Amino acid sequence: MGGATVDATWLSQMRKGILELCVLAVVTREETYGYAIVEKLGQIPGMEVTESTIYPLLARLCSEGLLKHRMAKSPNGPSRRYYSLSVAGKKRLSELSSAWGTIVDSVSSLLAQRESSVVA
Amino acid sequence: METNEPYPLEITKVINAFVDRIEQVLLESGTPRAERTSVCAEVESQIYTMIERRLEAGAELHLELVASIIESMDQPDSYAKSDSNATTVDPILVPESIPSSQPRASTSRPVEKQPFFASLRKKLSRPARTKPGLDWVAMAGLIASCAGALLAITGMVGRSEFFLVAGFFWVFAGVVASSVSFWRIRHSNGLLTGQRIASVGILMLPIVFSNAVLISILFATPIGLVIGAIMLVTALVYANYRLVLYALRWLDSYSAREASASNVNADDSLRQPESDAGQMPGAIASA
Repeated sequence: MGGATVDATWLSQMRKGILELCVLAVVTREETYGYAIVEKLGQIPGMEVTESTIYPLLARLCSEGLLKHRMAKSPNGPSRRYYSLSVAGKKRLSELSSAWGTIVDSVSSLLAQRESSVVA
Repeated sequence: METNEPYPLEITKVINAFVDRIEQVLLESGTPRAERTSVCAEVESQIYTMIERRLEAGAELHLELVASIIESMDQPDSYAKSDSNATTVDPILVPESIPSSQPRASTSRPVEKQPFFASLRKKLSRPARTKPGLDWVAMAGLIASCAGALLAITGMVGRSEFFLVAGFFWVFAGVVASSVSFWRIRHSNGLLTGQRIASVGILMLPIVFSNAVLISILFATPIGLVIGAIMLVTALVYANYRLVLYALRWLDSYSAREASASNVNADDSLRQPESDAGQMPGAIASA
């Protein structure tokens, strides 16, 4: 996604905009913990995010009631928080994914028109 | 680790120092308490998870291992830019030249706009050792400040301009070294100590200023009087600046406390006791 010529700020803003959707999408698959979310999103090409971005977002989503969590004991370290989607979170994910689908379709269609005009 | 023995104190100390610094950054950026608690718990949990994975891979538990893990993570300053703060440098900003397949640690650093100062900062922030110990820069700063103070006072009493100038030069050098030491200690993740020594090194400057004024008045040395007056004005300006800074910080922390008090009901972690944690997921339980 994006070549070397793509403006880094633009790319960053775009990532930031869809980050909430990505986190909700990861959590909806299975109950998971913070570091696993960081690792999962970090492996997606073009979505290189780190813990300093994800953890504050998780905290905000929890305080907004979109995520819920439970504590699970860890063998050596502190208890670990496992996140899952709340009812409000599922609704939000549905809204965001619908909006994302619309945006992707519209932009793809625009780009396709441009490409066909360039070929013509 | 096969056993459930707690980690050695020196290791937990380093981890706690790192997490405390993140909490401090979050506090200073006005993050509500509930969110601070959540972020710090996640960071702490990540460190222990990474340690466990390294141990399972055959590594031995020692301070260097923990230090390398902490070094590979986002540093506390990165947490000042929360997801709502869109105007600052974005922690997820990745230089275009770095392909996405490279290790995560290389993508975690924001773009450095000043390579020289960035590299200098990195060198200065690197702790000289991996065990908690006294910072030699703090000691050097204190020695320089004290020597400078002695020289300056000798110059003032003996009316020797050479001693006076040399004294102030060494005091100034001591203050610079002490300030650098302060910075190093703050960025050493608990591996360097000596903040009090550095404080004394810095305080030596106003002490010498006030002595310069007193002695120059007493002995009526013209140059001493001029230097003393300049130093006194500088010290007063600096003291006022610090006062304003502390007042602003206090206001920030006060407003953060107010905000967290209103958000405290939203913190599920405070209401959910660990005892109701239930079963761990299969993957973790089997591990």
